[in-house]
Amino acid sequence: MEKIDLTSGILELYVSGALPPEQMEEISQQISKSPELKAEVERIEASFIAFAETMAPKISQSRKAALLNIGKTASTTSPKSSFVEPTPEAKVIPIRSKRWRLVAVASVILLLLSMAFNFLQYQDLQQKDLALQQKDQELAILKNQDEILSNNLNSLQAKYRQNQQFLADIRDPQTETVILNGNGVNFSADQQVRVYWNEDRQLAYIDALNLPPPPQGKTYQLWRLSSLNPITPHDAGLLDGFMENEEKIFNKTISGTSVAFAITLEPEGGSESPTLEQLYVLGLVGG
Amino acid sequence: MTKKALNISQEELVTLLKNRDQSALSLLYENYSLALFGVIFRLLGDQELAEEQLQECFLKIWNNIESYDSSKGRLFTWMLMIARNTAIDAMRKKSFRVNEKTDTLESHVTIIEKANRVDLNVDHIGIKEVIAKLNSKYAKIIDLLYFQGYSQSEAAEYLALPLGTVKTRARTAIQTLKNLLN
Repeated sequence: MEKIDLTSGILELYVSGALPPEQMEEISQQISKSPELKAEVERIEASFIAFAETMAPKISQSRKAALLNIGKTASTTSPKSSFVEPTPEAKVIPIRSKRWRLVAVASVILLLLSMAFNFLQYQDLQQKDLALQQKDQELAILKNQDEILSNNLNSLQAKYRQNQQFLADIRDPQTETVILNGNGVNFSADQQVRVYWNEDRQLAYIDALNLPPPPQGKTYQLWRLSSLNPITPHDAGLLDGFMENEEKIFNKTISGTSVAFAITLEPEGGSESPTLEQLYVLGLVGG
Repeated sequence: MTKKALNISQEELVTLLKNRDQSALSLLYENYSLALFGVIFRLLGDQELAEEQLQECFLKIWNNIESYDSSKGRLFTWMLMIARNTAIDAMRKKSFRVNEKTDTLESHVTIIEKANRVDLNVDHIGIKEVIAKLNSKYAKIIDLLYFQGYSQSEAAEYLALPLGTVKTRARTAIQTLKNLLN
């Protein structure tokens, strides 16, 4: 084997792969034994690489990512034995007949037209679908609003009916207005609470707008007095939910005769008999 | 010259590739992707198509590394052949003009045209300058041997030169490139 001449140009041909296989192998072998040859081959390679790089446009970022991930996507096909994988020749069947060519062209045109039509249809459908979805949403919002409104209407109607009933009841000629005056101790003497009482129908409305809010854990209790001598009080119900009752009109069912009404402040839940120290108002029927 | 972020000997890279080590791909990319892309792009002239073929080329390198035999040539030479074959295959598939190799090349003229036409990857060096300084006969020999993959005898036949002249001309061409690019 003759010694390789560094400057002959054979190494340049070796790097480009331009030599016959036997010569490629022969030179590979010599290079593996000579650091000097190897260094020269690397210089040649570096020069060509630098030049080839100047021929390349920038590689896009997405492509770079694809290249770096090729190991994850690549199937591990069995390696080919040759130095370079031979490229299979694609078989092309020539279309010779003019008529067939025409048919082929027509088919392609039809296919393209059909694709274009499909695409337009698809787009149209998508837009319609979108519009439909929007309408659905709008409808849901409207339904929700409608529900809120009808709830409001229902409660307003109920309240209206109550008020109508209240008006009718206090206008009833049989309904007496009993004025309960403050006793001057717990409640100012010139303040009043009105009781609209209908003995026949056993109902009463207490208009307690003037009473102060009861302290925490206390409640107002209404008493019916069937006799003043001796004083005989009967429980006539609690003014429950005082804070929540905006109008402060309380509706009570009262059976039995009364000569007077009184309101005391009692512990929550009420008492068996009135706490006289906590008397707020008292008024005589017909007084 | 491009500064390499990750330097590695070809022997080490071959070992990593054969071990299916994912880091081999980064090293392959850093060290050789642009040069291989330069070759593929020079043959195809279309960025998107060339990128696709570069990916194909990487895939072939990754899948066929077992068939690489260092006794038959350098790793880079093997990759260069794959890059060229991949690009030439793509040309066939896209029914580019093929058949005679002589049809596909205008050697250095093509290189110069491409340098004028495309936004190339060099900002640190004027590629047009390099090619202008590279005597046309040297540009041509590099184009034939390295980019087009001509064998020594094919190049000699194409240029109507003795085999020995192809050899010495290749030597001078690479030396000139080295001096111009360093």
